[in-house]
Amino acid sequence: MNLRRALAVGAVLVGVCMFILRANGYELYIVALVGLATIVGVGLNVLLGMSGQISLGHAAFYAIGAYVVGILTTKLDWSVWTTLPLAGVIAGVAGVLLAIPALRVRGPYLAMVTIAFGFVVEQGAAEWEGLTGGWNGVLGIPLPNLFGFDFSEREMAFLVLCFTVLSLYLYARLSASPWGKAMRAVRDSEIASQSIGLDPTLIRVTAFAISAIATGFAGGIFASVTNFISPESFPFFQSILFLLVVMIGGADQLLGPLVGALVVVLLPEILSFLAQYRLLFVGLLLLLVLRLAPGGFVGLATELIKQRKLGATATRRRDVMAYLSAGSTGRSLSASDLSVSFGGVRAVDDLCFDARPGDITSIIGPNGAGKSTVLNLMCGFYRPDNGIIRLGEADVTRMAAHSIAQQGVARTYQTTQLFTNMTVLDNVLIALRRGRLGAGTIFSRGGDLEHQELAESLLAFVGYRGPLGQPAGALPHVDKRLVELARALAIQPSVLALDEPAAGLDPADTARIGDLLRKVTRTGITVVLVEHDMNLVMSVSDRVIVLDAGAKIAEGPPAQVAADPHVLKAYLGDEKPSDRRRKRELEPGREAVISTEGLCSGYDAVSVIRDIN
Amino acid sequence: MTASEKGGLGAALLFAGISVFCAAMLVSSALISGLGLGSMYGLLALGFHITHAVSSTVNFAQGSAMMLGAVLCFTFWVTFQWPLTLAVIAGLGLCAVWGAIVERTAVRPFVQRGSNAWLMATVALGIVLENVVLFTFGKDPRGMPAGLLTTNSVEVAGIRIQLLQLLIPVVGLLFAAAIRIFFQRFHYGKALLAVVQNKDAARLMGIDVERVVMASFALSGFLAGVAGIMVAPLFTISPTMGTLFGIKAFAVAILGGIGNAWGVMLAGLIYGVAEALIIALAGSTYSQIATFALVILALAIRPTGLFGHAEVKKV
Repeated sequence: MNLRRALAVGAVLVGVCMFILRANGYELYIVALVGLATIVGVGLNVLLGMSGQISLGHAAFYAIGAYVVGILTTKLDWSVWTTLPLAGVIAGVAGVLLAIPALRVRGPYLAMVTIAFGFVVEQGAAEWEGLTGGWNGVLGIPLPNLFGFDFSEREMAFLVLCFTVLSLYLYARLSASPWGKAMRAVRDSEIASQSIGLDPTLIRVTAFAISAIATGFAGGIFASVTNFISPESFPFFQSILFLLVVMIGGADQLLGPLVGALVVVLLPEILSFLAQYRLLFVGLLLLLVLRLAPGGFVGLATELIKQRKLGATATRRRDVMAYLSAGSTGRSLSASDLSVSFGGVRAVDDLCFDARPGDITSIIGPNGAGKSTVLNLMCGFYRPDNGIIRLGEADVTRMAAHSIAQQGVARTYQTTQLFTNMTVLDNVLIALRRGRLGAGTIFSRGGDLEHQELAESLLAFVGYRGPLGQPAGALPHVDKRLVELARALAIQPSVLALDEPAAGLDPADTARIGDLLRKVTRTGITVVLVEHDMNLVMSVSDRVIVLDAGAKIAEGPPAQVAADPHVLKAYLGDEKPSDRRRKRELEPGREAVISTEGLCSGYDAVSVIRDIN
Repeated sequence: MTASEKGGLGAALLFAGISVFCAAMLVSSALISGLGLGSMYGLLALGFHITHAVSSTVNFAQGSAMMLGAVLCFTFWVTFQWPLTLAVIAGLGLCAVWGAIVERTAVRPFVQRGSNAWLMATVALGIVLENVVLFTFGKDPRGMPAGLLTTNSVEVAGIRIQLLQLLIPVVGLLFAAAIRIFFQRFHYGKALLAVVQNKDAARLMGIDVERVVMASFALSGFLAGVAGIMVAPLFTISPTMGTLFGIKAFAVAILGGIGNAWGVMLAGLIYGVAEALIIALAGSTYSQIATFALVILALAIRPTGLFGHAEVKKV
């Protein structure tokens, strides 16, 4: 944090403290509500903004926290101080329990699970009268006291302020930590996150737990602030308001929840003369924000200021070849009798191969031959029906995708799978950990210098020359390929599996990829290449495996395979090549169905169609 | 065995018989009302299914469309004194228009920029409609005046059933069947299905995808309107009547596996009957807790719904 920002934060805090010192009871209550909405918003932001999961039932966690404090302080006379942490813990446990069904579902299914959870908790609070007082609620929840000094509303407002600042601070720490990056990685591409060794389940559960703890804690304070809680304090609509807090401010924006809370809490108070139209305004406001400022107010503001951070360049370059050599354990990747079927179609049929360390083993074949399926089997995205896949001596056949990546099998994709909303540098940084996040790093400062240098060196190694601080999704196609390659190398792989790395690249860039792959093999990495570009395959491969309809039809050095009659047949059919060449002029008497003149088209920098007449 | 013992046994048997009979009555009347309500959940859920199938989006304002149907029908028929048929047709037509409005204002703008904020946007639009109705129609719940279908009833095996209660499941299943036929036999239905399969290919075949998506939202609004008008005589009409009903219908759509039309309808019947049985046997207090807990449990066991199929993810 630089000095100017620290001064600004300090000034705002002093201003708020001055206000609290002079505020009346009503104003103090509003201050507390804004603070609590901010804390909930911060928690929800971890779930919605960072990890990309929706919850339409967060009022339930708020309720759980509130009832823990309400019941324990009134019935058992526990102190607020002991019950508050407990509120967070119990809500967190509920969050983990909810995560179990929630993790198995996505999108609208997840929305449904959280809605149902919200209803179960709300109705449960209403019906379990012995514990919760039913619709009558819990009355007389005390304010805390400290060393015999009873808190008034004013001290309570200060306390909420402290917790609000703390929650924002923790969010900033989490955001910069490996865990924050991992959550964003899972959000942007679950598949790619697995192939750098991240366990999406663990990361999603963590996000749920953190989110629930923050919300439950805030609920606990709410109970103490309001003195009275009942099921009516936590309706379904409250969950929508919490979502509104995050969305108005801007998902995954540090200050988003604060801005959102100010709007959501203050607006109805300012418009209190229109009290009955409150919900109408809330609905219209939500629609407007979603339409006009999809990044929320904070997102809009940062976009207007347009301070594009380009990412400080580290001074020292690391020796990438040494880094890769240290990781490549010289293990081969072999498959025996590998088969898998999808609905009666044998996509891969009794396949055996052995990819040796330091070699480039290419898998080629016509469209639909099962090449990508083989990669997916190798990397644990599909389970084979039978057969064994070995990494060195170890059997990795039925391991989860992220475990296989942790064992050192890296992967790139036919259509690039980058973490599109993360910066180029972060894409590589998170991969450097190879899934080992460590429990201690959850709120740790990011910015490990050694990692930063390594990541930049890797990007330079693959030939990436673009900006490091740009979101990866905004890159041109060639750069996306390069960043994905750098990310795959960052996990220090033993095996590098590439799915059509040259697709959409022009010949010059393709040649550069070829050179790079040769360089990579010198570190002892086993390279498995699926590719359609025959020039690339023939020039870089040590061995070529040809698949047709899921079965291996030829294997050997490139030159030998290219001359194999079976291979020619698979690619070109039974006819002699000359028969296939049709060169009929358009018959003059007929009208052309489609005629073009000088049609050009292309993807990014590559021109695909030139002068078609 | 003495006489008194015999008498005691007889009394016990009689008591057991009566209670079994009562339970059977309870269960069968629960079955009937459950099937009726369930088929309405199913109808509303079919609306979720159609829009999801065509555009992979879900209209969370469905509950409000159902409420709109009931409110409009009541207003036209009772307040404006229109003939019932006209009131129903006008109400349903406006529900379809509402569905199209939801698509244009709260779904299309977000889908076009690849955002999934349509979820919250449709929720917001539902809230807006609910409140607009609140200020125009009024807060107080009103009952549909008694009509032909509610005053007349038949007696089956000792249970009195309103004609309406018999009609509701029939209408529900008829609509489900009509939709099925529409998709399979008619040109426009096939266009919808083509869009479901592959948006880009459908566009290349000259199908106006945007219009088809909008039509699917209009159709889902229409179905919600039907459900609203059908259940209005059983409950009271109020601006908030659609909220919980809509959520339950969404639960039904999810349980049925949102991509499967018959699955959705079947899930509606199961949900309706389960809810009615829980109310009949355990009282209404726990019905919401139990049904929503069952929803969570069902999804934990079968994440793609009871009748849905998992898709093989392509990497």
